[in-house]
Amino acid sequence: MDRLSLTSTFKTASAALRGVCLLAFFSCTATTALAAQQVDIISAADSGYQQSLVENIRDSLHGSGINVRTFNTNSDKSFNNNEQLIISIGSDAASLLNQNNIVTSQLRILANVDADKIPAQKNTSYLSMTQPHCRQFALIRLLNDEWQTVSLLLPEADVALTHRLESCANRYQLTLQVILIDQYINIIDALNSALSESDVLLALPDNSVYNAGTIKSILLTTYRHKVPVIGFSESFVRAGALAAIHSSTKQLGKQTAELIKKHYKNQSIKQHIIYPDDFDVTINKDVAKSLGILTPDRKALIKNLKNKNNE
Amino acid sequence: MSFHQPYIATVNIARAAIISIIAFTHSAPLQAGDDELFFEMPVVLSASRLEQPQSETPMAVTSIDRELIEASGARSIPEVLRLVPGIVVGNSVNEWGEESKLIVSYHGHTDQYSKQMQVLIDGRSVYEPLLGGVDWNMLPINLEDIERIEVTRGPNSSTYGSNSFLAVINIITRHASEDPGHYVQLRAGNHDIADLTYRYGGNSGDLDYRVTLSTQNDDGLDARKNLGAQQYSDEFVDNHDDIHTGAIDYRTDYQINRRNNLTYQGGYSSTDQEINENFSPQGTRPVRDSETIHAHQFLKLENTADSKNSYVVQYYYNLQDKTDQSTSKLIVVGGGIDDFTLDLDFGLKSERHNLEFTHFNQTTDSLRLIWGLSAQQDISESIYWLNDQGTIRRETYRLFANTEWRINQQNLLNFGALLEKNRTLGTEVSPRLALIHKFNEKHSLRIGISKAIRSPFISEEFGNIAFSHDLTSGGTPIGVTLVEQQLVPNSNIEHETIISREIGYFGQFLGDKLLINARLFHDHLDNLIQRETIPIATDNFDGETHINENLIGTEFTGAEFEFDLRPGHALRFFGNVSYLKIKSHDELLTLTAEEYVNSAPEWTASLLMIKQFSEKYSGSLGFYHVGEMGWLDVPDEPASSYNTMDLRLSKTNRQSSSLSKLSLVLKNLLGEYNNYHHQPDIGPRAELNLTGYIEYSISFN
Repeated sequence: MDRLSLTSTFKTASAALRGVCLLAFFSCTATTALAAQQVDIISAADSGYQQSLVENIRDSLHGSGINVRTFNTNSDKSFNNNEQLIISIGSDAASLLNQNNIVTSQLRILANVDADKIPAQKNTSYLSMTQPHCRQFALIRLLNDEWQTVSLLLPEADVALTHRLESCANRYQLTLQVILIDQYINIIDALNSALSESDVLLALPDNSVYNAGTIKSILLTTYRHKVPVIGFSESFVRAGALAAIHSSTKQLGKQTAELIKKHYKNQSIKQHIIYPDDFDVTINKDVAKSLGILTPDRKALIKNLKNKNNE
Repeated sequence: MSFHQPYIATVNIARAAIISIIAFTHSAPLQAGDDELFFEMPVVLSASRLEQPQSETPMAVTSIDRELIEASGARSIPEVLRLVPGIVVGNSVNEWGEESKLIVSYHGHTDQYSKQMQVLIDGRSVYEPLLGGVDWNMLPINLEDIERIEVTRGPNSSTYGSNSFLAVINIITRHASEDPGHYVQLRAGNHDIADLTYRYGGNSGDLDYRVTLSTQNDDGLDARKNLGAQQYSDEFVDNHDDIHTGAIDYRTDYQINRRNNLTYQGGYSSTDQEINENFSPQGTRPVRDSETIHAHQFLKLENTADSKNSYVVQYYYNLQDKTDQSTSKLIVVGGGIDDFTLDLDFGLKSERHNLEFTHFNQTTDSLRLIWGLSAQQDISESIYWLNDQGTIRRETYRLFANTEWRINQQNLLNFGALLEKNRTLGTEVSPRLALIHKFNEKHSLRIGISKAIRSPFISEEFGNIAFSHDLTSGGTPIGVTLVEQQLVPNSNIEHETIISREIGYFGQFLGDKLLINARLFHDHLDNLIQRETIPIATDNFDGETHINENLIGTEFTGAEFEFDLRPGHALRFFGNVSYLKIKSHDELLTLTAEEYVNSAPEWTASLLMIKQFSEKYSGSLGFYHVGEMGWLDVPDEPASSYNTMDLRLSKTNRQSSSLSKLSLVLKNLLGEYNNYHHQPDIGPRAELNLTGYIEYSISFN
C-alpha cells in the first residue's frame, strides 16, 4: 500500500470517528483532540541537514501527543491536508506549498529569511535557520572593540537590505562597507580592491555568494589581506572563518517543536519572522592566532549575546 | 555606510531592478538552494597554510606580501629581496667563463654560488645540489603567481633542514582558485626588455587549476670598456649577457573531499644565455650561448583529520640540465711545442628527489607539535666539475620536530631539533630554542639560540677539475701528456656549523598602523669551507691544485631593524636598516679570513613608499643603500657602496568584467653602479644603469 492510499484510508477513518463521537461525546473529545494534533513536515529526503532537523523536531515532540508525518519534496504530494499545521523545511518544500495553494497554518523554515522578500501571508510564519543580522554585528563588536569597518558582499538584487544592515551596524558603532556584486563581477577582484579598507568581512548567508565554488578563494583572499571572516555555520569556521554564530539542528528542532506545541495550545504563532532563540558560537583559534586576534571567552561571549535583543 | 567605490554605478543600475525583483519575488519569495549554505566546507586555512603571527615566530621573519612585490616594480625575485634587512643582490656578469648570475647574499660569505641559504618554493627546495645557489633568472616561477615571500633571518635547520644556515627564503605561491580567468601581462623597455605572460585559471567541480606561460627577455647589463690602470670608458657597450627564458608552470588544487586536498604543480623552463668571458685577457674566446633547462614536479596531499591533527605528504622532483660547450683560450707552451686549445664542456645535470611527511598536532590549546620525516636523493653529473667520476648520488635522511608550548598568556617556549644523516655528515643534530615573552598583546621580546649545519655541496666534496693534452711538435706526438689539475676531491671535508644567539623585539604602535621588528644577534661560524691552493705532483702544468677545506671561522655581530607603517589606507612605508660586523676567529688575520670579514657590507638599508593617489592612480618609490663589500671570488676588487632608487607609477582601469593596469617603471635613478666587481683589472666593467619599461596587464573572465 503506498502513502497516498494510506492517507485516503486515514481520511475515511477520521470521518467515521467523527460520527462515532456524536454518540459518545466525552470519550471522543480527547480522541478528536488527538486526531487534530498532527503535524506534516515536508523536507528534501536527500538533504542530510534537513533530515537531521526533522529528526530533532520529532525527538522534541516525543511524548507531547503530537503525531509527526513526514513527506519528501521529490515524491510526496499527499500533504494537502487543510486541517493540519504544515512545516516546510527549505526552499523546495516552501515552493511546493505555493504550488499546491496550501492555505492552512504553515511554518516555513528557511536557511535565510529576508523580510523584504516574503509576502505578508495569513497563517504563515517563517523561521530562519541562520541568525538575525544585528546578532552578527553584536558578535563582531564583542570579538574586537577596535574594529571599525565591516565589509560584506551583497548581490546587487539585495541592495535594499543595506538600510537595515546599516542600522544594525550603527547600533554597535560599526561602519558598513557594502561590496555589491553581480554576475559580471569577479568576487575576488572586488575583494582585492575593497579589503584594504576593511577590518572584518561579514558573510551573510547567501548561496549565490558563498558556495562550493567560491568559498576557497574568498577565504584565501581575505586571509591574504589579513581580514577575518565572520561566517554563518560551524563548517564555515572549520574551513577558515574566524567565528560564527550558528544554531544546530537540535536547537532549531527544539524551537520548532515549541512553536508546534504553542500552535496546538491555540496560541497561534504571532510572529511573522522568527529567528533562532538558542545558538552557539564557534571560534577558529588557529585563524585567530595567525591573524593576531585575541578572542574573548566563548561562554561569556554567548551569554553576552543572549542578553542582547538582536533581532 | 559606504558602497565600495568601483561599484557605485552598479548600485544605481540595481535600484531600478530592485522593483521588478521584489515584484517577482512576492509570488516566489523563497531563495533557492538554501541547503548549500550548510554544506560541509573543505578546510581551506589548514594548519600547514596558516602563517605564524610575527609576534610568535621563534626567529626573525620578514614577510613580503603581494602589494610589496608589485610596488617594487621588480622583474625578478632577487630584486624583491632587497627589501629584506641584510640581503644584498649582485650581478656576477660573465666572470670566470660562466654565465652571468643574479646572486642573493645574506651576511656575505658568498661567491657567485650562494651556498649558505635555503630557498624553497611551496616547501620545495630549489638550491642546486652540485654547485649550490639558485638560478634566479631561470626558475619557472612568475612573480605574478607569488602570494608572499617569507625570509627567516638566521639559521632554522630544525624547520627547513640543512642549508637553512644563514637565512631561509620561503616563496609561497597562490592557490589555483585565487586567479580565475585570463591574465595577460606585457612588458617592454630599454635593455631590449620584452616580456609576455599569459595565465589562465579555472575550475571544474572540486578541481582548481592555473597555467602560466611566460617569456622573459633582455640584453643583460651594459658595460664600460676597460682602458687599463683602473680607467673605464664613458660609453656603455653591450656586455654580451643577453638572456631569453621561456617557461610554463601550472598548479592544480583538487579538493578530494572535505578533509583531503591534493596539490599538483609542475614547471618547465628553457633559458638561453649569452656568455662572454670578460676575464679572458686575450679576448679571443668567442661569445657563446648556454642553454639551461629547469623542470619540476610536485605532489602534495594534505589531510585535515580533525581540529587537532593534520598531515602532509609531499614528493617533488627537480631537474636542472645545462648545456654549455666552449673552448679554452690558446695555450702557448713554447719550446717548439705546438700551441693548442682544449674543448671544455661546462654542462651539468642535477636532479633531486624528495619525499616528506609532516604531522601537525595541536595536543592542547597550549601545546602544538610539528614533526616529520624526509628522505632526499641528489644526483649530479658534470664532465667539467666531476671529471671521470660519472654520476654522484647522495642520500640524506631527516627527522625533525618543533614544539610550541604556551606556558601562559605571557610566555611562549619554542623548541625544535633536526636529526640529519648522510654520507658526509654522519648523523648530526641541529637544535633550536626560543622564548617569547609578551609584555602585552602589542609588544613581545624573543630570546633564542640555535645551531645549524651546512652540508658540503657535491662539488665541494667530489669536485675534480682536470684537463690533459698530449703535446705535439709540428703535429707529431712527443710522448708527453700535459696535465692541469685545478681541483681535487676532499673525502675528509666536514659540514660548516653556526651557533646563533639573538634577542628580538616585535611591537605594534599607533593601533596596528606601525609594526616594528628588530633584533640583535651574535653568530659563531666554524668550519667554513674555502678553496685552498696546494702542491700536487701529478700536475705538470703549474704543479699546484685546489682543494676545498674547512679553514675559516668567523663571527657576526649586528642589529636589524624593520618597520611597516600604514598611516592610512592609501599610504604605506616599508623599510629597514641593518648593521653587521664580521670578525675572524683567527688571531692572525690570514688573507682568506680577511676576505670573509669583508664579504658583507656593514650597513644596508631600504625603503619602499607606496601611495594610492586615487582609485585609478598609484605610485611607489624604492630606495636602497648597500655599503662596500667584496664578493668572495673578487675580494680584491670590492663593489663600492651605492645608493639606488626605483620608481613605479601605475594607472588602474576597472571595468565590470576586467581589470587592467598600465605602469611605468624606472630603475637605477640615482646613476650607474656596480654591485659585484667594481674595478676589474682586465675586461669591461658591467654596471646597472637606467632601466625603464612600460608594463600593461589585464585580467578578465
